[in-house]
Amino acid sequence: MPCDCNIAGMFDIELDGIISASMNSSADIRLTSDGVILLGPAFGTINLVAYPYPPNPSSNEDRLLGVECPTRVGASINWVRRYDCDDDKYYFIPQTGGSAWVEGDMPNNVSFELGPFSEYKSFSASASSGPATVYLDTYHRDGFNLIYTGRPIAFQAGRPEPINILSSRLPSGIELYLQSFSLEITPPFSSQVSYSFVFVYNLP
Amino acid sequence: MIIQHRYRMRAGNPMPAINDLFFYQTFMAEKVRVDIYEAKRDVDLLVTDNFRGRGGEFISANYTRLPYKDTSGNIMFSGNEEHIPEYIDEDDVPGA
Repeated sequence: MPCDCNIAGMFDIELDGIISASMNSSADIRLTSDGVILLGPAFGTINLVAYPYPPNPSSNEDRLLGVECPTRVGASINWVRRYDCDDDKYYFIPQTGGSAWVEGDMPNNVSFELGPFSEYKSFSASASSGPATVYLDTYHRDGFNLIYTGRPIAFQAGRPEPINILSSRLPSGIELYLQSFSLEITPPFSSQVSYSFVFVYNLP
Repeated sequence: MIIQHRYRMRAGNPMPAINDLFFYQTFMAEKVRVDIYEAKRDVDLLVTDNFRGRGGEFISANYTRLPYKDTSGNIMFSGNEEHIPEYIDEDDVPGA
């Protein structure tokens, strides 16, 4: 099948403010000692990087999400992968949420469902741009089940649900399961969010 | 397929004798051939007529559905199949 190239601005992803999107996947193929080729489903990940504010330049929305200091946010959601031999499909079953952390200020649209349970000083220092480069002392907070109400995809880690995006590009019926999330805010410039989804494509 | 053999001594309980000695009386041994399948097609699984009660040569089999298909689309199973025991002399059991 030939490849098809186009400009990134024409990439239809059904969401606003996407900076990059990529997909990695491979089918589970095995060879038995008797020489039988076994074909399993394809597992993959989709990574999205986006602006957490409207891409419209005239928008007055705060691009730093209410923070003054450099801030990073991270969260993970754990899924259990199980095979159902009755209908020959893999399913992703959510565990009870996942750990989350905020380093720096607490952004407007980020909160913990549980916690924070611990708060301690952290730092970030680099002299790679010269010894006069500033370094930062910040606070690190650890909690559980991040709640993100911002753009482009809001979620509650404690109530994970499959997400239907890229329906025009992925085989029909594929659902995406958010497994990790990060938000980075770099005052006075900008901010961006990253999502990592996992999915399975069951053999027809 | 991997062929494995399982052995079982046919014996009674050890009986006490004199001076802390015990007698252990054996009555030959069973040698069971076990066929182990990493992947076997659903259409090739054993059926009732393959088992001893119906004149077949197997005494038991168990299978687990695999999340794979072969290139022809057949559903695949892993599992093992046990043949009817063969009676052998105790001295022919490995390690005896």
